[in-house]
Amino acid sequence: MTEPEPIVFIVDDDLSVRRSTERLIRSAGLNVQTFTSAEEFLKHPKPEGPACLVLDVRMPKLSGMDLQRELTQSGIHIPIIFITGHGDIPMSVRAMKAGAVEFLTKPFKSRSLLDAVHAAIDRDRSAHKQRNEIGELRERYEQLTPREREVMVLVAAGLLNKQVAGELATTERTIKFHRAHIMQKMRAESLADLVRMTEKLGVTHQS
Amino acid sequence: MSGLPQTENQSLKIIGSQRRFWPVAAFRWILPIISVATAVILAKLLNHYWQSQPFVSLFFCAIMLSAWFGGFGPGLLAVTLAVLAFDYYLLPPIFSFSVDFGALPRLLLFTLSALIVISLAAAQRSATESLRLARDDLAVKVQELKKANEALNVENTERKRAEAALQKAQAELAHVSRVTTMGELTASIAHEVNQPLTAVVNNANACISILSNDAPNLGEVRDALTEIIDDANRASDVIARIRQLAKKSPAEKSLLDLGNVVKDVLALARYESHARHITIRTDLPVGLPSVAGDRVQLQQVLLNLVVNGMDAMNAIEESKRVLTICGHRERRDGTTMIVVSVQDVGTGFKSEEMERLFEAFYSTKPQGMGMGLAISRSIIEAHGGRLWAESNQGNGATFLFSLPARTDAAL
Repeated sequence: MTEPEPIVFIVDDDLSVRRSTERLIRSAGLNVQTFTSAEEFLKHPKPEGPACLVLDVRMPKLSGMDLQRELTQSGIHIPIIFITGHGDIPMSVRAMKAGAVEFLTKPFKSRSLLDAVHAAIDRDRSAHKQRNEIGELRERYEQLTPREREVMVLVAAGLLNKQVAGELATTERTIKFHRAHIMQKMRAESLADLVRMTEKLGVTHQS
Repeated sequence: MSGLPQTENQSLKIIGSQRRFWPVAAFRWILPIISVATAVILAKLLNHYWQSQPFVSLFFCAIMLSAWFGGFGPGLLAVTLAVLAFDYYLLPPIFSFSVDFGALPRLLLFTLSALIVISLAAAQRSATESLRLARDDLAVKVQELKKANEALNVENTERKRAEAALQKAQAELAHVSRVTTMGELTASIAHEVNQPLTAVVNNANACISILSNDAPNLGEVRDALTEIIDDANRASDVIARIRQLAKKSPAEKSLLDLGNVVKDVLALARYESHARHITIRTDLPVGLPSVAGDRVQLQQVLLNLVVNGMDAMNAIEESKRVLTICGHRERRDGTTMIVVSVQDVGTGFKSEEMERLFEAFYSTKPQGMGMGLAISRSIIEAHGGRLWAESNQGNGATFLFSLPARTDAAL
């Protein structure tokens, strides 16, 4: 399966800055889509492939920081490069803590912006990959019966079949049967593989 | 004679020295004696050589002379002496002061005539004297007037100098206040310059990037260059506007569209208002008559009102911060006035605070100089208008100013 083309979103209320930034990034061979406000961007469907957001901090109504918060709350993960009029340190710290990739002060160096854009897209690409992987694992996990899920957690915790049987008050034979099903449904090649999967899914045994 | 002491007083005033006056007074009293004596001697000589007796005429001459120079008193002395001499030399028995009964009418007639002569002479003299007095009086008055005039001139020059100094101080203060207000908007102003600069740098770098391709898109390069020029002009416009506001320039009246003045001010305050989440609404009808005024000064007033309005809303909820700038025309006492209002929804003022707001050095802001509104009011009043504040029905306050509308080009 081929990965969709990366795309850079620009949200800036100033026409000149928006257009010139678009031209700059496009000239570096990337796809660009522009928005005049945070609200407009929120209405737009989220991208399939890797993307990043070049965001003006100060905008009327919804500001860049507001948009960042909104996206985080809606569970939309997109790396953000903030552009600001003047270097406001507390604000940049807050933005970076909230997951911004870069914080650039106008007028910024074109190289800095392009580097940041590339870094952000790379980051999103690997995040995407990871997210895809987890998504797939979760799909497989969903197919397990509640009993199988219980068994998987205990097996991954390193318990022997006999111990699992004791824990769940059933026979060792039943556990063996479940275990075979789990390995098949989760497409795990070994016990170690299954352990990694439970870690990624965050379903480890709490004892 | 009643006029005499007055004459002396007046003379004293004019001459200013009593010593110079004494010989004149003495001469006045000696003259009758000399003149009558001269008349007697002349008559004697004439009588001796020509056997003529012109005593009467000579005595009259002496009396008139005395009365003329000396006034009524010396005239009377001359009359007395002349009567005595007349009696002694002319009336029988001659060389004796005793008078015959028959010669009595002649003596009385002579005395009477002499008295009439001195009365006339004294009256004449008195008239002349009072004329001189009036003239001297006039001279004194003229002198006084001249002095008063000089003093007035000096005072006038002094006042003009003080006025000029005051005007200069006021202009300095207005300038300081203007620059201080602008100081609150430095971030905003920097932003207004940085925006186009950012665009210029972006576009220029994009051009370099495009041109390094094998088949560069020249149309795109042309578009980028056009935008570079536009943005460079935009930046220089911002700088020109700031320079104009920041420099000290003498007031210069021209026909102004208040809508444009509002636009200029909001261009400087826009970024700041965004930063503070303030929505600025304007309602200035197109075709509002122009006003005659100094652009920079009126910008200063509006800038002040806008910054005050924004500051007043610091304490209220972000989503509720709205600043409304409206303009309308009003007819008052036969003249059309343009009224501009700047309305905030901030903390507002108590009614007793309202008038104090316009006092110098009165400020409700912790860092305020307290000059903004005082200067704004003096600017608007110098333009023939009025600046005042009103409490809103709801929250906040409204500041309004009116300026007379001008439709003709005459300033």
